[in-house]
Amino acid sequence: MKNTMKLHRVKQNMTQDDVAQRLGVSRQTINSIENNKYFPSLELGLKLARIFNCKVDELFSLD
Amino acid sequence: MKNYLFPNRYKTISGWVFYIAIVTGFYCWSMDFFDEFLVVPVPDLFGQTGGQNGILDELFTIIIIVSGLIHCFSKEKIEDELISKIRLDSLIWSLYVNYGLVILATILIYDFLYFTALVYNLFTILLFFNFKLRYNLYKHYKS
Repeated sequence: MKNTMKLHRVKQNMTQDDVAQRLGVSRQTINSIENNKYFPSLELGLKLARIFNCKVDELFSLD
Repeated sequence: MKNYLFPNRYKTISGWVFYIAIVTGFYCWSMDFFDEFLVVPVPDLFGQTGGQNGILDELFTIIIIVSGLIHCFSKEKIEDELISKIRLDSLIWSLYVNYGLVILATILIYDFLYFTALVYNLFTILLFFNFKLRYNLYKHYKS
C-alpha cells in the first residue's frame, strides 16, 4: 500500500504534530504512516481523509 | 474502544517496584533467606509444610507478578493504535522466546534443576516482554 498523506498535509499547511493532535495519536504514528511503516486502521484512515478533505482512496492506494 | 490496560500513572511506580523486587528477591533466594523470615501459619491445602511456612518467597512472587503485569500493561501517555500494535508484537515475540527456552530446558535440564528453570520461567516472560516492549517503544519514539 502507498499513500499521499504527506502531499495532502503539506497542501493543507499542517505539520505532523498538527495532524497528530487533531487525531489524538502521537506524531511518531503520523510519521510511520507517511513513511509506509504502518498502515492505519479503517477508522484512522477515515479520520485522516476527513482532516484532509479528500476521499480515503485519494489518500491510500494499493501498489 | 475497550482495552484491558492500566492507567499511565501506574507505569513508573510499578516499574520501580518490579525491578527492585526482582533484584531483592533474587538476592534473598541466592542467600537462602526464604525459609527463615516471616514464618507464619499458612492454609496448607496438601499438608506439605506442617501448617507453618516462611512466606517471604510467596510475597516476592506476588509483588513481582503484579507489579510486572501493571508495568507491562500500563498505557503510554498517548496510547494510539500503533502503540497497541507494538505492544501486541512484543507480547508475541516474548511468548515465542520464553516458550522456546522452556522447550530447550525440557530437552537439556533434568530433575530438580528443571523445576528451578520453570520457577525462573514464571518471571522471564514478564522480563522478556518488558525489555522487548521498551526497546520497540524507544525505536518508535526516536523515529
